[in-house]
Amino acid sequence: MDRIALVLSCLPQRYEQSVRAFAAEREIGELRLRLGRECTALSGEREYPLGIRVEREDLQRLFERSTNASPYAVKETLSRGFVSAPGGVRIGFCGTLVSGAGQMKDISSAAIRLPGERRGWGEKWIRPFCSTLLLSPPGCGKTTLLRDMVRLLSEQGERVGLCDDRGEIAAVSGGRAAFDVGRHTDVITGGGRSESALMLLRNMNPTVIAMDELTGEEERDSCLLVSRCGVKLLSTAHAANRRDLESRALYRPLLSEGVFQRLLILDAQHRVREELLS
Amino acid sequence: MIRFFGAALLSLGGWLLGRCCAAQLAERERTAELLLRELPLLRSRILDYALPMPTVLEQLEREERFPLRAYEPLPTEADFTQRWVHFASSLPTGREGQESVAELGLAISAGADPEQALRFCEERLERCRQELERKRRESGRLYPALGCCAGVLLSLLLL
Repeated sequence: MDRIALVLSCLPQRYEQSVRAFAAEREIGELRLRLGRECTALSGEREYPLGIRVEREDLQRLFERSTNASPYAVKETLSRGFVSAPGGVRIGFCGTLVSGAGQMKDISSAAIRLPGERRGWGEKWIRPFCSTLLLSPPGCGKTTLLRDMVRLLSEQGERVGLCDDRGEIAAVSGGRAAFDVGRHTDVITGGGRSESALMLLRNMNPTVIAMDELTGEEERDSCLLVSRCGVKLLSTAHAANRRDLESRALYRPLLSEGVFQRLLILDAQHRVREELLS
Repeated sequence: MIRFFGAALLSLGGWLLGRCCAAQLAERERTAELLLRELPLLRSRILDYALPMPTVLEQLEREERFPLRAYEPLPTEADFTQRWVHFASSLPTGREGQESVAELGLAISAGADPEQALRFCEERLERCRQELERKRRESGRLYPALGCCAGVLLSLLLL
């Protein structure tokens, strides 16, 4: 089933025509549903209205379908505000958080994020491969490039350990990856990224560990540990450029210890600029 | 002779009608008992294994542990809650039992704590079972007797 069909299966039928018509013209990055407003499709950096007013029932149906009518089964991700649907589709919800219960009620908006796949995009940066950090603001294709580089590294014989906490990179469902992440890739889905990285390091003897979005101290520390063990890293961070990265205290130890030897900086037009460190 | 035979048939018919009503009561009680017996299994698969509700129901149906005959007939595009409410309304447990089961699925799929929802359902079902048991005890013999008396009365009137 294609990803648009997967998304449409979570929405009422009246969305089908507009979404399909839009998808035929432009690539959909996200569908955004805000209660009482018009549904929009994000393509590139712009949101385009689809001419359908979002009702409460639409959001309820989306919530029920995406959680398989069992929010308790996805409690961990739901407490972080999103649900990973099959096919690598990620659905983020906004509403009222029930404090301490990890639950959400009165959903007011949702963002359905469709993953992209660009095979061969990362070809240029894998031979030879050194620890690489992909930088860009959100929505510029970091995860797509990361996925492609994981696949290419794996295909050239590297044992890649992939920490896919949000199920976006490999989109594993029932033990099978929806995206091709290569023959030599071991994936841990769910859990914390730092925890997964250490599990992979201890148990799977990887030569490369890949994880999306370094955002916290735990992840940073696990990167330092992985690097000290001689394992290469492939990761992403939200930053516009090297200076932006260096200005943040969180990333300074990574740069000063030389954990990453290369930065790949993406812009909104998916252009990639390479900067070597050290 | 024919009149006497007709009167006997009418009385027998009345008695059978009463028996049917009593059997219905017993069936309701049995279903409530079955649901109560299988609820711990449902709880274990939901709380211990965090399996999604539709998967749990499929498993229980395969194992013939749950009276799920009415869960499947709706079209595939029907939501889980529609299916669940359809299933609950088909249970021969009376309104109280049906409502408690329907509420379980609705509450869980809306994000309620499954443990609390299961406990609440269990309590309501237990009350429902006790009520059905009391009714069966009270009316199990009364209904056939009433049916038989009605048959005799009708015969006398017709004669």
